[in-house]
Amino acid sequence: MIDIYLLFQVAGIGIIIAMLHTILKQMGKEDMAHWVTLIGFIIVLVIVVDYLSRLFTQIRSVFMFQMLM
Amino acid sequence: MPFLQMLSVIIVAAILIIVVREKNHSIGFLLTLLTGTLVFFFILNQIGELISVFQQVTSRMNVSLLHLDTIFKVIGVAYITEFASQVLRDANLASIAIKVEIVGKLFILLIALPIFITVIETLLSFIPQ
Repeated sequence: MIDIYLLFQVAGIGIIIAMLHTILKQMGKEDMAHWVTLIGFIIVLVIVVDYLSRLFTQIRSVFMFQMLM
Repeated sequence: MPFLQMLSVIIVAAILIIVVREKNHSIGFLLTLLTGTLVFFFILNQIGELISVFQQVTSRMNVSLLHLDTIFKVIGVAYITEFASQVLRDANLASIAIKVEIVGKLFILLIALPIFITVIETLLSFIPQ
């Protein structure tokens, strides 16, 4: 049940990025806004991929895949 | 009651996804992926116990279920392919989802090959030469 914090973290990052994007756009720094969105997206991607790899290793151990996968 | 716990977590996650998806589609999709894996983790714990019960039953009553581990492998492959194809279909990439399913079926066939061979051999042995 610890992983729920991960969920909230990712949702928080997503919302913060969106807000930053709109704020920077109003300030006129259009390219900075795109950069912030991109970096935020990469951070979220790293978190999710890491979590996914943990899941796959656990699946491998539970379902006794040794050789095939 | 872990079931109710997981249900409430899923509902909260669904609401979060709706909020995030308005502003940013890609992170919304990543959030759905994360929720899927969260549910999968929860299921895996239950399945682990189920599998250990199965193993104890087979070992204690030495009724040798012939290919118990291949059955578990097939279930595992089916689980993962279903998970991946549903996630892809959710991101309305239906064509790639179908590819994933084809790959999954191929791997299930690959895992279940020895069983086919034994079945064919037993059938052939019945035919009198």
